[in-house]
Amino acid sequence: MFLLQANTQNGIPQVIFFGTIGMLTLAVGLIVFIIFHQRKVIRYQGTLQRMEQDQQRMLLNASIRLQEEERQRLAADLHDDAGPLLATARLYLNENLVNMDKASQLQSIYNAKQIIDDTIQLIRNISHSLMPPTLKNFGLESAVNDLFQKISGSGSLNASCRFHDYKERLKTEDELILFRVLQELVNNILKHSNASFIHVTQNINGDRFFLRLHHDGRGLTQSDFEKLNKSPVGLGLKNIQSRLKLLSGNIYFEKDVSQTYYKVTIELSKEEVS
Amino acid sequence: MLFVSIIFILYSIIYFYSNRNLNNDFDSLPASIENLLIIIFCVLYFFEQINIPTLSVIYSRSTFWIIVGILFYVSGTLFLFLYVASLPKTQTFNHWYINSIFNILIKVLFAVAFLLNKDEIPDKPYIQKQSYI
Repeated sequence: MFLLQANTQNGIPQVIFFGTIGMLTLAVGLIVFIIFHQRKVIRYQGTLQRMEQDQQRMLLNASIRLQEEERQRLAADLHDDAGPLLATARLYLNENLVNMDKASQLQSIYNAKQIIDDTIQLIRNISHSLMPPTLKNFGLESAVNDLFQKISGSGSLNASCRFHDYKERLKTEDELILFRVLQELVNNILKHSNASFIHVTQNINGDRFFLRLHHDGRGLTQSDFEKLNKSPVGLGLKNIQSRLKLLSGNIYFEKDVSQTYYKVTIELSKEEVS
Repeated sequence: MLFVSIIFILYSIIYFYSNRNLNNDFDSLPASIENLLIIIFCVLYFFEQINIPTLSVIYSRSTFWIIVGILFYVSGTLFLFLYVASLPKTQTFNHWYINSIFNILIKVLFAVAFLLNKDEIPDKPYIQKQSYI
């Protein structure tokens, strides 16, 4: 319309006027759009960051709580088992001082020795459950083998493992973390799943280190895992995740394609751990 | 886009030395094309900016105000430059105030840009930066 009028002499000023106004409106519109859009993106990022922080806090909370529980368990073990045993041994020896009869003296010394032997065994067990000596001395493979032998020995379930590419050991502290994760997973399977076998395989693909765990009981899928991870329950799972975070590893829970097994895959970058 | 700009600059140089209309002291067409190109560059700048993940608002950066100033100037004077050659010589001066207004505007916006303490390039995402506006 205005362009047509531009042919006439006095139409041109109008075209200039309205054209300028139009262009200006477009420019203002563009800038307003950019600002609002950017604000929206910033708000979204803020929420995302907050959610991540919440998750971190939850993981930290879980690991602290787990540590406290472990301490309580340890304190209870020492207080309830080792304490009374030693007290009894002391009683026997105390009796010795009063009782002068040779035969009963010998008897009570023998009893005290028995009790002290029991205590030594108990303390050994406690220390081994805290830090398996095979893990430190012979590596992850032996420790897992050891653990599985103990589990299989109970007879209720068959546990086996196979390490395909484990000629070089990982760093000791990383092995410990992996072992703890595996222990927690196995514990969960024993507690909840009613499985009849557990099989662990390890292999390396390129620069990725894989640890796969199969079992045939009731298991978790990735969505269950994420749900439990966000809820206040599932302390063990949160602990698994915070441990793996230290190694920058990932964990996936899935149901096998045949729908009969559950599979848990732990994936680590090899540079990170060796 | 850079290719188009290079062609335009070459064209302008050739135009300046060969085809220049000496009776008219304003080159209407090249100026308008230049304005259009700069508008496109400004829009590209904005879309580049909103794709950078950052927590600092866009108007806390001095480059934003410089680009806004340029955008206002080039889009405001586009139609003036386009039609000023068609106006009779006597009327040209009557419309030149548009150019002056936008000249003032662009300089005010440049001043705003310089008043921001420094150009905050969002090289560190997720860091809230203080805005002085």
